[in-house]
Amino acid sequence: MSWFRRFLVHGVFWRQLLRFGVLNMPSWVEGMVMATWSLIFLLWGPGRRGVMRNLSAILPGSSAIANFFRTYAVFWNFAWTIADNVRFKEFRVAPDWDFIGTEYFDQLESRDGGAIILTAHMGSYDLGAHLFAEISKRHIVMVRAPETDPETRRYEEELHGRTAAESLKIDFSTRASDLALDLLESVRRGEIIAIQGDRVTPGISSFPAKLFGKQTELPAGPFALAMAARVPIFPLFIVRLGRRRYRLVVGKPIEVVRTRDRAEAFERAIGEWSRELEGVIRSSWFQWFTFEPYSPELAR
Amino acid sequence: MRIVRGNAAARFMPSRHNFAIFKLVAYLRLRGARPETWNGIMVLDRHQSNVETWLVTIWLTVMGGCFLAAAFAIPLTLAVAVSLLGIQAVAVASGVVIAPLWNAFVRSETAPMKVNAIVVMSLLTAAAMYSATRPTWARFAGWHFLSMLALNAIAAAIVFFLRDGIAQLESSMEGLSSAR
Repeated sequence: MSWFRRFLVHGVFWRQLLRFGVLNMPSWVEGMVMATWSLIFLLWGPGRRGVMRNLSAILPGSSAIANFFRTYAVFWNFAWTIADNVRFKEFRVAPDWDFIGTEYFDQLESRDGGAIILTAHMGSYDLGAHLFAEISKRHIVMVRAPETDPETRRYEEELHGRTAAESLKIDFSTRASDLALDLLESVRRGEIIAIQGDRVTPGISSFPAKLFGKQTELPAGPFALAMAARVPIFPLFIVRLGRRRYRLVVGKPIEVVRTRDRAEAFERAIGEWSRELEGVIRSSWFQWFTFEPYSPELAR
Repeated sequence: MRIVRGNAAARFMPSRHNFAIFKLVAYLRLRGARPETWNGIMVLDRHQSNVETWLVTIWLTVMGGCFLAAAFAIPLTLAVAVSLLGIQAVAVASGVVIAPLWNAFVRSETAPMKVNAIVVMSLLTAAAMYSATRPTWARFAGWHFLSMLALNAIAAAIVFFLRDGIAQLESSMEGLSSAR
């Protein structure tokens, strides 16, 4: 039955179909395709329920029926985002960008040493990292969770191998201890490490935090790395504004100061990060691509 | 990839448009535009214009719906929904069958997207021609579709004659550069 796996929601078939769509659909058919497939993916029960539960926490007092339609908006944005990412890889056609927090971006660019970019599952993380690698002189190491499906993983790695920018390296967050040492080495060499800091994958150390009043776990790795390497963390978000339009939002850097009380330093930094995260997610709830309940309280 | 940094007036650049009518309108607007400081990057790609793409998408879907509604005597709303799915189905079928055959036949490497666009537009043009000859309300839709094609052809001729002026105006745009 292994052939059937490719049609499951994380299966490779959907990636291949997406690539086919990007290569074959004229631009004026794209909107029709997105509208149709976003509707079809609403049939994906666990994903739909996950988004609806998260929305109920992000937008307190919102009704289930309104959140059902909002979930469609999340799927719609997700479909455009992944298609934009494939289009960039295949044709090198990027969307338009505008920037907020340029002073912090310049600070990041002009730093002598390394830095950490902490971001969320919003807009196009991949596209943002690729674009950053294209427009920046700095080397960037992107840490991401690997695909759960082995065939999909092979497909994505092969695609990345063909299309990656020279200054962009992708590392996967499965081999936690080895990776931590590699990343420490990279950041000390002056490279920029981009990590998604809104979700914990199995095997990754985490730290308790509150998001929209609900208990959750956020990855501890970026903060530990920042403390060990004595580099700042730059909150950076890629927000999709519309068809082929994105915004790069860079926040004030978070310093993880080394003190005797390591837990307190962590707590303060994670508190700052979660406030930043809440602000961006609240205003752009339609593109927080977290398809599982982010808190155990919401999973019940 | 050509980009324009820091100038919002770049949105009027004809290179960001696909159909000749939109290129021409963009050119006229660009002539009167002044540099507008803007903190961002605009990419020059012929499919980058949102207004154009959405207008064409909606227009084609509605036109397809009108032709189907008249041909099969079904309600217009249902016909528009069928048109929305039908146009996609034609593009997919063309991508699977016609584009590879075309490339094998003429021994070219034409982008499948281009072949599929021609196939979809040809089918809609054939439907418009058929509708234009029928004694139903759909003849207005048919003539409207054909007039827009004719208008686009005239605009294409004008754009062709203006091509040097357009290129000159675009290359003088502040912030224009190339990226990898």
